[in-house]
Amino acid sequence: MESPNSMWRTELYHAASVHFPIAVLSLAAVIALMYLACYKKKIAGNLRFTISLLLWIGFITFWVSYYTGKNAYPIVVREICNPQVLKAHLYWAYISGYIFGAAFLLDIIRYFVKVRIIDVVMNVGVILCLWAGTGILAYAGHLGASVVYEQAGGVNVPGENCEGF
Amino acid sequence: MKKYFLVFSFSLMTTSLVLTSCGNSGGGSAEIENTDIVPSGTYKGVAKEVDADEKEIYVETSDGKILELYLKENTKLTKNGQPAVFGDLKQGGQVEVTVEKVGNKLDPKAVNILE
Repeated sequence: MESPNSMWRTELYHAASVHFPIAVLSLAAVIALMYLACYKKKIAGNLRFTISLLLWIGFITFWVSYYTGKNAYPIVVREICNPQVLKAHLYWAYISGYIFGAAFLLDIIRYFVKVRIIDVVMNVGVILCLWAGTGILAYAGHLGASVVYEQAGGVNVPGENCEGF
Repeated sequence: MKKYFLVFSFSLMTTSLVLTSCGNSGGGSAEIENTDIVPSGTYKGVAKEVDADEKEIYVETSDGKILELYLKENTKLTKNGQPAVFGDLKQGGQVEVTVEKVGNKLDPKAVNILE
């Protein structure tokens, strides 16, 4: 059995992996705003490439963190006082993952189908999915934070005499 | 260059699909969305779903309530009063559960498999 004081507990792999995709995908959504603002400028091409890069990296690492979250679920659900919040966290994370998945697919189509109208439609689709996915991801993140900071999910709470420290 | 890009995209997409299936919300668990919280006590019912991976059971009581129970190490599991293992729980089987309402969840104290 893993020691409650250990930093190598199954439920902590999720905490270790989840912040990277949140940061990367949120940044992609912000850069999408900048891209629209600079659409006619020379830098637009670089910004568009950055959006794709962040989206692809974020999408892959998102599912890694989702997987670690699924592994943490059966442990944390037994510790907390209101499992409904954890279920909602899992549900909304899953929804956002699929929206980012849609953005990812549209982005790939955009790279291979070099038709002007398709390019524009895919571009709009990618950006809308990015914003929608980021909004839902923020809500899922809020629920995840609630599980940790309100219910101490996955948290080792030291005893009164701080045994083990 | 375009060939490498194609291979890279395909690899990324395959990896994502694999990770997506690993992280599937269903993921081997038979999740029932609408469950009930009941007062502490002992209830008889049917094991509507049994999830061996998560050591979780859903019990449908005689009055139609569905109790979601995550068995813990300290949950006393018996079969007709004799010690039992989780594998003895069968979907559709009769069970008697003793639960304690803690916060917004049910803590299973004892599960007795009836035959």
